Amino acid sequence: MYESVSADFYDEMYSQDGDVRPAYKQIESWISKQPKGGLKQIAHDAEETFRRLGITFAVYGSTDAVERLIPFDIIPRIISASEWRRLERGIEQRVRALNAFLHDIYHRQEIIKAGRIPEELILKNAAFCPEMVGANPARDIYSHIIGIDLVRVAENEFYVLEDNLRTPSGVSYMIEDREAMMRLVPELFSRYRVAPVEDYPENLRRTLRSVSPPSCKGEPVIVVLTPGIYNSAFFEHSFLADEMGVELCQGGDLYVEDGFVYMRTTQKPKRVDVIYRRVDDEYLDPLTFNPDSTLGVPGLFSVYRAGNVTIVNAPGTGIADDKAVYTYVPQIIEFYTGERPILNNVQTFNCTNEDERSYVLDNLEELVVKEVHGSGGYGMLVGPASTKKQRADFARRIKDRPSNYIVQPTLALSTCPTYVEKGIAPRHVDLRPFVLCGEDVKITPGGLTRVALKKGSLVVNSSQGGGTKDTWVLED
Amino acid sequence: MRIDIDHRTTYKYEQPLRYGLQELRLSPRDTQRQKVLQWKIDAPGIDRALEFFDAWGNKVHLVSQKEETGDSTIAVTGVVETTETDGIVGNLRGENSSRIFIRFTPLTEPSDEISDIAESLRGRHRDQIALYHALMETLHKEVKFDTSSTQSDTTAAEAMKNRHGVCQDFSHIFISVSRLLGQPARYVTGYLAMEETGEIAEAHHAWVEAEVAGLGWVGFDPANGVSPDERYVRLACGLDATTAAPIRGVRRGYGNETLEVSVSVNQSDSQ
Repeated sequence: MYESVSADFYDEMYSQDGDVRPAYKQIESWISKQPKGGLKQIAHDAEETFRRLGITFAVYGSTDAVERLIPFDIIPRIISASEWRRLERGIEQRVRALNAFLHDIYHRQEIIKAGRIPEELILKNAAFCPEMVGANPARDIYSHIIGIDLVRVAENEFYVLEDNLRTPSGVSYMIEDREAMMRLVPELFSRYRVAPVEDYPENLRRTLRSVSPPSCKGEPVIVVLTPGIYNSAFFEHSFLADEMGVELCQGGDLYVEDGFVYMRTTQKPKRVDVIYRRVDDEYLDPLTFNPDSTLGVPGLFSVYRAGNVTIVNAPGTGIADDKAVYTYVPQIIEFYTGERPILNNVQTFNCTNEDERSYVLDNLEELVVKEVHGSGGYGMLVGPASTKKQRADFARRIKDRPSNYIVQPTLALSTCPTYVEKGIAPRHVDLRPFVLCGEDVKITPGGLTRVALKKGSLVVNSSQGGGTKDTWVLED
Repeated sequence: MRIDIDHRTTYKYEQPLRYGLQELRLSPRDTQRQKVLQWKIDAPGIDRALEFFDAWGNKVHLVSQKEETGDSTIAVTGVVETTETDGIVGNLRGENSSRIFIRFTPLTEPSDEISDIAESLRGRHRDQIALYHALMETLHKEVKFDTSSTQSDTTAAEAMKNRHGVCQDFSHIFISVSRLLGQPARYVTGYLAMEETGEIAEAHHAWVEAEVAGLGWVGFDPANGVSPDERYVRLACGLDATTAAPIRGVRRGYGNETLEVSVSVNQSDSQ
């Protein structure tokens, strides 16, 4: 029933010897007891459920389907309690260090003075926000809402692919996937003790509340700021506002007067204290950033600098998840925590270095090339899956603008059992756990597992045909 | 020298203004060169203004207005005492890292021509001050002062290509060269007391401060080829003309807006 497990990849359900790993015993027995057509029926019901809920997302650059359903896989991914504890420690170490790094480079810049990171890489980086220098966000936290992309290559070996510290999305899928699973296969939940994810919106609200600005004395007024319905993640913006019981606003709903931000309401204007914005830095405030932006609020940044409103995440967090800065994260962790990093970084080649570039150009077939400022799987080359023409094209682009690309080895992403036409088959997955930083660091047990549904594919991005899975972290 | 300043900016609206918001960088700070004796900003909403310090160390007022009819005037009046320090400004209290002033902006991004100037200066001078004076000489030779050739959004690269510019353009090119050489440089706005010396001068002026080891910030006026003397009053600074602008705003309303600016900067009679 299961397509054979490849010896080149770690399979999360079966060991190389074909034994079922302990955490997957109940899944395996549940699958084997399904009547003929049973899984197909569940998959069909799942699709119906998501269609009814209207969970869609926009794919940029495709003209036929503006909105489409992200495929959902009905086999949950299981992470044992002990595996999770280790991940949790690694993630917490990483986000604390990255927030300390952000505070430092926007203040005294000790890490630059200590020679641990090149000055030009930070101060001349497009993602560095000079306007933030000297600003003092509540609790010194810059990135409050984080989604860290991890991949697994062996039993206890996880690598961090990307730290998403700007406006990470996907958390609504984590919650909806869980809700769908509880409806579709309630019997499976009785066989496992699964840690809850459904308290995420409440934890998010508490996090936002805990970073209200010094000017706010009573209960803070929180809003979610969205670019609008044409944004690919609009569903998530409205979902989170709804779940938290706060207003969903667009730039035009907010304005600055006498040093505070106000929201227009049907009654009198309401002062706003905390803005969870899903609008990019550049568009936040036409007075300080892009003057042509109509998505933001004129004067918002000045009010923020004066300490009369909190913007979550803070402007300028992108410098800490910049792909060129990524290489330095292990040093960043050691510099601010004095500890060795718990989670691995992926080895990254720097194309501006002549030796590394020539290695890269000779071995493109085995490497992954990413644009420094790209995201979402756009503008990326996966060597093993590429054509000769694509490789020649990227080789030319790397030679033209070496600093615009980073290159990494192709990682052997782990596989998880996935429902496909013919039954159950191993498919490659990654994991994006969601982290909240406020008065404490909270990591939702689980996260978004993305699965590459095409056989052999290593690209899990939903824009490139990836699906999602519910992620179960087991409790002891 | 005691300098009297009277600087008025009047906006005339064809239709009533529905909403307006302005950031005012109109508060000079005390430095080694200047002491502010009196200072007053009059503007609609100034009594309810939000005050804060920006990343470049300026004190900023954010003022908002609603449903304004007729004209609205921002008036700045004050008296500043200046001393001759050979351009040395030093470090201002509570300043942020000076190193951010090596960052290029769209207005200060270098072109090949600007890089050529930087390379012609690199390593040729006994110290930084000499280098900056050589840079001012080069600009004086290469670029013609001309008020008709550039606008407020002209970049350093464009001005260098056309070989024409005003104080803003001279300053942007100077800054671009300094940053290419790895030395922090920033754009400064202020006032210049007028005299009949035949020099190029506008009452409202712009120049540069560069960081010099051991001295802190030192002023250079590349449009005039000199270091600011006691006739100069420093108002605000930034990465470039946009970020240092004394008045920056948005408005909502219909119809056109016309702008009138008057600046008078005079040496006071001695007490």
